[in-house]
Amino acid sequence: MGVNPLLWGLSTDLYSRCQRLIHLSAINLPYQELSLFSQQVSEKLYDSQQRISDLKAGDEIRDNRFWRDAYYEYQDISREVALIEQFAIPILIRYSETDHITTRLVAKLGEEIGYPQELLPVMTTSSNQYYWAKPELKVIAMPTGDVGGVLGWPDLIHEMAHILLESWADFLQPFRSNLKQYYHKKRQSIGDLDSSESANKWLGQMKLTWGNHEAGVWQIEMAANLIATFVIGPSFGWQHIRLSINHSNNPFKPSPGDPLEDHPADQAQLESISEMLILMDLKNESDLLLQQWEEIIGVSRVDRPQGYDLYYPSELLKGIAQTVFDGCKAKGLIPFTHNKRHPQTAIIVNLIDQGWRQFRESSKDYPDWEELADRNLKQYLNDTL
Amino acid sequence: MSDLGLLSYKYQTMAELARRLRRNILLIKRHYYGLPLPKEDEDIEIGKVIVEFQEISKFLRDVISLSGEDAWPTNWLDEPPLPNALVEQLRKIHKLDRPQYIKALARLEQRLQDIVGLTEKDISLLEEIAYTASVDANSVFRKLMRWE
Repeated sequence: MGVNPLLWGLSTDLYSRCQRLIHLSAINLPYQELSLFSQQVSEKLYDSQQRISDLKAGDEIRDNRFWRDAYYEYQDISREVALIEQFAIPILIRYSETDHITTRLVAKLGEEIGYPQELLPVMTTSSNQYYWAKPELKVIAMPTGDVGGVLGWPDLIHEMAHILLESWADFLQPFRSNLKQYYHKKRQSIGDLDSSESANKWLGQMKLTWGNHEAGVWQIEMAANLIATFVIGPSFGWQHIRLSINHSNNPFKPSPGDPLEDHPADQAQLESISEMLILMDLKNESDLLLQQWEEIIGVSRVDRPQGYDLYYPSELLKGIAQTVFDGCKAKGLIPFTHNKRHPQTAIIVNLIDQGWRQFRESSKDYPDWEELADRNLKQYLNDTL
Repeated sequence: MSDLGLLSYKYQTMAELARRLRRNILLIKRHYYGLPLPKEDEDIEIGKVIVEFQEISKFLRDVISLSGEDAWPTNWLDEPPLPNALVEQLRKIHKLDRPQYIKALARLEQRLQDIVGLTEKDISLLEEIAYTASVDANSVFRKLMRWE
């Protein structure tokens, strides 16, 4: 019996660290959107301090039968503080005019698409890892090169969708039921056909990556794509093609036999985007996308591997598109098809759509178009601040 | 979402699971050692916690020897009480003493019916499940922070 002196000391030190970070997070900048973010960051740090106080006041740190519990609790708090220090504090202390304008852009876009105001993120425009989101902090990072670069913005909406998905815990429930049914049916049929052991294994992997445990990130990725497609329309598909050409080396990876990856194959992502466009009565747009995609696949000379459909069955791709389509409507998100008819109010949605049309019609003239569009947008955002 | 965003999602999911398991095992330990529950946990029904760990014990007994989720019995496929990654970790830990581990889980499941009947070994088994989940969360955290 007795206090664990090392844990006690470390807890005291972590408490002080929180205090320093709280001080830093209370930075006084003339940007309204930061005050709420700064408050949220401080609250998280105060929560951590409370957990530290509870740890120091509790029995666990005083009773050696519980020291291990105290150790893991301390470690958990320490990780939470480190995440805030790594991902939130730098945004606050380095917040720039460009970040401010981009955050305003996102707020305006959010207004146009019916995005819940309380979930609007704070932006940082200094990402060195493409776009990323920290949904629990409501932070989105944009790569510097996309500031003023309209073509990449559909991926910004994909990140905004991740924040929605974190907040809407049951949003994908109907798809999860589909997945269960599909898996049981397929497992049964593999058993009936006395198929190879590997077919069963790949099916298990499929369920794991599509599932809803920590390994199951495919449904989240697909859903974020589909929400973005619902609100921004075909531009999301075009940006997906652009991203795939820029970053990917095989549109069918991962397929059975490949090491599992957190992102589903680009091909499957495109197929589900196409399903969403069809649900939105944009079949022509979907056909154009697929046509362009086929051309790229032809150029890249990569063949669809055997067993690909086991990971990406059409039933699941259609199922997740339907779930997201129904869910977006139920949650009151405004579809692209509506905003398309209201260019005066849905300025940013239509700007992105127009950008991609302009690029496809005349890529030669696109840089001039984009420069002018960026200038006009900045002026518009300034006027509406 | 970039890899960073997905790692963050994975970390949140795993950290939440680890927290829940740790809290519930702590409750069992406090009952076992005859200590009062913390005020914030007074409303948690210990009976439900016990049932959860009985189910986890049964689940682990059924799947720990199997090579992967594809081989799991159908009844565990839809809502497994622990994710496959955690089962894999426990499988590695008990690679050499698997038969004894399965027997110990069976005894644990039975003795959980009456907390006072638990033994220190049972407590260690429970702790191991929660701490393995914490170690797993820590591994993802390290990747998220680009420390490995």
